[in-house]
Order: sequence, then structure tokens, then C-alpha cells
Amino acid sequence: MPHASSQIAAQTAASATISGHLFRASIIAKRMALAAKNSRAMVLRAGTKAAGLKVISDYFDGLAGKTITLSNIINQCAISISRTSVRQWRTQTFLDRLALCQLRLGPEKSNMLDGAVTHRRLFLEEQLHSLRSQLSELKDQLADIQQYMQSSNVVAVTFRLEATQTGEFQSILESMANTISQQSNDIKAHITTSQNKLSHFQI
Amino acid sequence: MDAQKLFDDGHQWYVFGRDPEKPEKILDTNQYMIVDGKRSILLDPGGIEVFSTMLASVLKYVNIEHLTDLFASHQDPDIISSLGMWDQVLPNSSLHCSGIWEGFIRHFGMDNIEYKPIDDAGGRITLENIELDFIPAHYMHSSGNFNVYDPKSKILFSGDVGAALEPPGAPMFVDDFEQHVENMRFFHQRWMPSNEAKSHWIQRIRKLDIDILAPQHGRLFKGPDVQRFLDWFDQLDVGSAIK
Ligand SMILES: [Fe+2]
Ligand SMILES: [Fe+2]
Repeated sequence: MPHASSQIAAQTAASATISGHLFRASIIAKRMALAAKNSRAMVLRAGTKAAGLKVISDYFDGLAGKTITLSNIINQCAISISRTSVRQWRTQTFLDRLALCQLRLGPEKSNMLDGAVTHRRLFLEEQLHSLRSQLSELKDQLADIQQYMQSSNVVAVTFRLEATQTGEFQSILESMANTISQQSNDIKAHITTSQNKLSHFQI
Repeated sequence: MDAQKLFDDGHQWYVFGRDPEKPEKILDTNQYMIVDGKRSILLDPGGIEVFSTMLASVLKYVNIEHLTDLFASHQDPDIISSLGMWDQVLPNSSLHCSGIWEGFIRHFGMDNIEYKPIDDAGGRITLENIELDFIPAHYMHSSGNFNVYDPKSKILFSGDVGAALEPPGAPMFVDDFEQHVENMRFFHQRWMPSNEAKSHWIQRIRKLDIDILAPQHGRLFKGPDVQRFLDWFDQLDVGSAIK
């Protein structure tokens, strides 16, 4: 057997945890989108003084939108991994109990259960196979979000730099830049935890 | 796990219980199997903790493909929390249980087994040759609850009715009724909710010809002890938690 029940239980818990982190990340991403909209309005009000900021805030707005979409997709993906894990877990538990039963039955009668064992092992293999592909998808998606957050930190830095040119708008735009970088870091933390959780999966 | 043959004349009844390997804090249960040629039914197959032992025990007497039916007197974990396991080992079998519990019992995991709901008024199943009656025993203690009566062997499987709480290793049959009463009193007063339901059940059961009354916990009643039990239960006041 490739997996002990306790290992699968740990996986189930890990994927449920990842799903929870991504849910929280998506809430922050929604706040980020709101911040992007606000920064855009502010840039428009600052007029020509903040012309350089317009492009950046548009880009940021797009980034926030993509982050929301992706974190929702990842959340779904993590939920389906959790579901696959539970199925795998139940099958493994069953196989463990069946092995115990075969031991009790002795060599003459235990082959009565061979059919069930083979059938469920095959099912377990299928589950493992889909788990593998779901996991590699998840890994890529998490990396994508990290990339987005890298970009949004760059946005925050540029924003802050450009804000110095905007006179009376400087302080408010600066505080916006701080919000952006704070939110990006919060999302990054959730993603990093999720990536660490992925290490629980040994397949 | 102990196994005893209760009846053997054309078809067979077995009782399984007194499992020395079960975890200590788990309430001891009796599981029953009726074998009728190539069809067999398990009555109250038990909790997930006794699954391995149960499966090994029943396969000593039947081939796995002849285990065609399961019966759950009600929805309790000690009755049927093993369902998710049976579901994987007997994918083509049927589970007979009160219709009101289907949505609940599926929480134990049931992807393959077919749920055959029993109507509140009761029902009947034919195995290869014999017929078994599902006798309504609602509120005894569960709100959707059935006993199984086999008119040929004159055995009544009574579920939680007649149950006793005893130290491990107790004999299978009641040997001294007066002494046994003390093992049953608390269980019936506390788990049985309604005097009205109780009288209703006793009236119904008195009409049956019963040689063995077989509960899901504790000892079985044989011969005159069956009537002794019904008389004792008749005068017992139940539903003690609200008194
Ligand atoms: Fe019960
Ligand atoms: Fe019970």
C-alpha cells in the first residue's frame, strides 16, 4: 500500500487548510480591488499632476481582479483535493480493515476477499492519479498568485515614488500605496502557508 | 468473536457477539445472520469498530456473494456505523431500514448498496424460501424502528428491546430471569421514551408465537423467559429522564 491511513488523514486536513487560506486570501483580494478603484478615483481627481499614476492604477486594478478570480479557482481546486483525499482515506481505512479480516480468516478463506481488495486498490490508484494532477495544478496556481503579489508590491513602490510629484495628494496616495503593499503581503503569507502545507502530500 | 447457531432446520440463524477484541469502552453488541441457501441477511451489522471481526466471522459460514441483504433496526452508530465498509465489500446488496432514516444513515457512507425503505406499517422480505416480517417497533427506542420476526424458527429479533448492560463475557442466554432483571432495568427506563409505545409494542408482540427473543445487547430469552420478559416490561415505567 502506498499510503498509511494517518498519512491520508494529514493530506485531507492539509487540503482543507489550504482551502481555508485561499478563502481568506480571496477576501483580501476583494479589499484590494476596492483599494484599486479608490486609487483610480484619486488619481483622476489629482488630474495632470498624477498622469504617471493613471497607468499604474489601471494595471493594479486588473491585477486585483485576476487575483480574485485565481484565488476562487484555487479555493475550488483545494476543496476537490480535500474531497479526493477523504475518498482515498475511506478506501484505505477499508483496505486496512479488510487486511485484518483476511488475517483472521486464514489462508483457505481469505482469498474470498481478493476480488474486493483488487477492486478497491484499483479505485485507490485512480484516486491517487487524480490527486497527483490536481496537486500539480494547485502548485502552479499558487506560484501564479505569488507572482501577482510580487507585481503588486512593485506597483506599490512605483505608486509611492510617483506620489511625491502630486503636491497636496501626496500623503493620501502614499497611504494608498501602503495599503496595497500591506494587502499584497497578507495574501503572500496565506499563499506561502499553503505552499508549505503542500509538502504534506507525499505522492 | 463468539458465534452460536440458534436454529438449523432448512435455514440457519447465527448470533455473533462477546467480542474479546473490541475496544473496552465500546458497548457490546449482538449481531445476527439468517442464512437461507444462497441468500443471507445480517441483522444490525454493528459499528465500524467491529467490522473486521464481524466480516471474518460471517465468512466462516457463508460465501461473500451470498450475503445479499442487511437490516438496520434503526439509525444508531452501534447498529450501522460500519455501513461505509459493508458498502465497499458488498456493493450489490440491499439495506432494509425505516424510510425516515435514509437521509441520515447515508452519512455513514453508502455509494453502492441499495437502500430499501421500510414503510411505517411494516413489511416483509423473502430470502430464498423463507419469509421474514419487519414488525413496527416505533419509539422502542428509535422513532423509526423495526423488529424482525421469523415465523418458521419462531425467533424475534427485538433490537434494543430486551437489551441488558452487563460486564464482558456474559453467557448468551438468560439463565436466571430474576437476577437478569437488574441488568435491564436502567436501560429500559432510560432509553425507552414512551409508556404508550411500550404497551402498543407488547400487545403486538404477544400475538406472535415466539421461542427466542433476541435483543441487540445482552442475553437472549428462551421459552418461558420470553413471557417473563414481556410481563416484567409491561409493568415497568419508562421515560425516566423527564420524571
Ligand atoms: Fe439504539
Ligand atoms: Fe443498541
